[in-house]
Amino acid sequence: MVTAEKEIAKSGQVAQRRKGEKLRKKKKFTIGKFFVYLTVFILVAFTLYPVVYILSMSFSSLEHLILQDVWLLPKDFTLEAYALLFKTSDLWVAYKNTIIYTFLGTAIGLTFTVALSYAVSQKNFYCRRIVIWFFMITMFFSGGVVPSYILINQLHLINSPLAIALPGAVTAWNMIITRTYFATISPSLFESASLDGAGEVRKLIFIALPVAKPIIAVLALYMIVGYWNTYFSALLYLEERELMPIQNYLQTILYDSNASGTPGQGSTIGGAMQIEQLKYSSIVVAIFPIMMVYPFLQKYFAAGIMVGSIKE
Amino acid sequence: MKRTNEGALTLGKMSLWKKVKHDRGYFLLCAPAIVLVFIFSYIPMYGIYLAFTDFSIRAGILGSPFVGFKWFERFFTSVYFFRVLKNTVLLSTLTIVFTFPLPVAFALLLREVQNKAVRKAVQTISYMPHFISTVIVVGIMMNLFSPSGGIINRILTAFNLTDTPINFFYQAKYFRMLYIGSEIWQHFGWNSIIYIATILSIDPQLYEAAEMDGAGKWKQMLHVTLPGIRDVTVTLLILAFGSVMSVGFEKVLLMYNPATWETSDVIATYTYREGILGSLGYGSAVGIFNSIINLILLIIFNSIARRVSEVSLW
Repeated sequence: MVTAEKEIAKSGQVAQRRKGEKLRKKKKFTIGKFFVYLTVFILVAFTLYPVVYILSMSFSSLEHLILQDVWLLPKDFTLEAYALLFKTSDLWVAYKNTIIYTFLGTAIGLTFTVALSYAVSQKNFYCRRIVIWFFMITMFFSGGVVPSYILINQLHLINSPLAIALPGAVTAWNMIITRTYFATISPSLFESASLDGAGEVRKLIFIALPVAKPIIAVLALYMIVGYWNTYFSALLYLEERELMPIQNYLQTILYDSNASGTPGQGSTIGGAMQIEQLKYSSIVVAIFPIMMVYPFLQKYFAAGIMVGSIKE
Repeated sequence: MKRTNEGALTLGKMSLWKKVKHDRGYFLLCAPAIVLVFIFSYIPMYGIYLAFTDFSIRAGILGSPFVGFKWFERFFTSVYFFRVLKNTVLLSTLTIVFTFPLPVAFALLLREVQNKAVRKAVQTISYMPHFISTVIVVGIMMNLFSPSGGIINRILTAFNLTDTPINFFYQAKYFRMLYIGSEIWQHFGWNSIIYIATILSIDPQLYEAAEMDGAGKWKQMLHVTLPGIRDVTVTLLILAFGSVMSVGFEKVLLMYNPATWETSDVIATYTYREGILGSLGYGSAVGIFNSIINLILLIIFNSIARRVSEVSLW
């Protein structure tokens, strides 16, 4: 008892002393600290500048786009470029397509991945190692772009949303991180459910899912971002213009005219300038949804990125 | 542990049929994913066979003539073989070398930021570029580096660093710099997550003990933080080298043009041009060559990782 009290008193003292140190430290502004904050500031500026610049360009008047005198903040604030955007039906068709592909792919990917990962996280699934390896192998070896292209052709999935949604819906990596999460759920929860006669599907829905919200949120974010940003598979598998997702649409307006220094699309100077204006506002509209979502899931990122291993 | 042992014991006693019968509930759950991956990942492995045929979609797999090693010979003797191989290895090696240190340094730096709100805000901002698509990143880059009024050229001209605007995207010597720079911009924050998480998991008592011994912030970093993240750093570095053959294909495809092929054309883009837009059989052969080298490197570097830090992918 006495020692315990002593311990408490001692730890109290230590805590107090530490508090004192902290206070003292807070006041002291060292060169080291200055250096730390300066470097952090530079990194933040480096990260933000390109995006702020695009944003400012999208809110600047056409006059200043021509004069090329926007450096950081918008000049002659205007919503012209966004008004122009609403008249561009191609963009909205592409936007709608992207939403469809994203929804379809994420719904399929999430359902399949969660079901699979739950199963391989259960220790009494005897064949789980074979199943895990079945997926792991795809991480190490793939047939390549050409055979995949031929396969999609032969399945008659060219110009089908399924060609975008299905091939990457389930990945070994997502399986690993989800399985790792499910494996932390206490087995006794499942055992008592088994005794009550619950099957695997029931156990997954009523026991595993309610506690797995964080990992589902991360998976959903990864998948949404992945499909939202899809470019190459659409380039390969979608030949019709009306099926083009937003990234491929952006590629047609952002590229060419920029690098070569000659206007790509508009034949008149006015047309070229309109495209110049559209570039910035379409970039903003295309990245906006993702930018609104990811900060809210930030606390779960670490769980999803730790090096997974199939060893248990 | 006990449960696993019991499981293993019963597992040994059961016949395969019994095991599968016991697992049927689980197999039901796995089935959709297995079917999907079988179709879209396993079936394309027939590319190994395609590489030995003069494949055409009209004739089909069995109808296409078998040509042996013709495509491989053509690739190995092609004037582009050395160029695409060199570009692939060089680009990804340089990318690893230049992108690897910053996330580590950033994580170390963030630990010293005591204000929690600032730290969180900085982290959120640093993740942002990771979520922007390759198409947009390259698009923004083309805009910033454009010779006609791009901000970089405006700055260079303003400071008299160049007389005429530089056409960055059309000169081979700038390609690697642009590619690596954009990789750093996009991923340094995201790649720091693992280091930040590892640093957080270091026992705070170690820091207290170091402080008692009179170690300042710098010494604490050298003697507590760095040893704490050593394993994960080494592992990630080795594994990064294991995937040297898989460069960011999409980004190269979006960035390159014939004027810069000398430095920018990598195996994957060559496969795309020669395969999808040319001969499917030849494209398969080059693709398979890349996959096999990739696999070999992965196995080699993975076993090194296992030996050095006892961590491996399998």
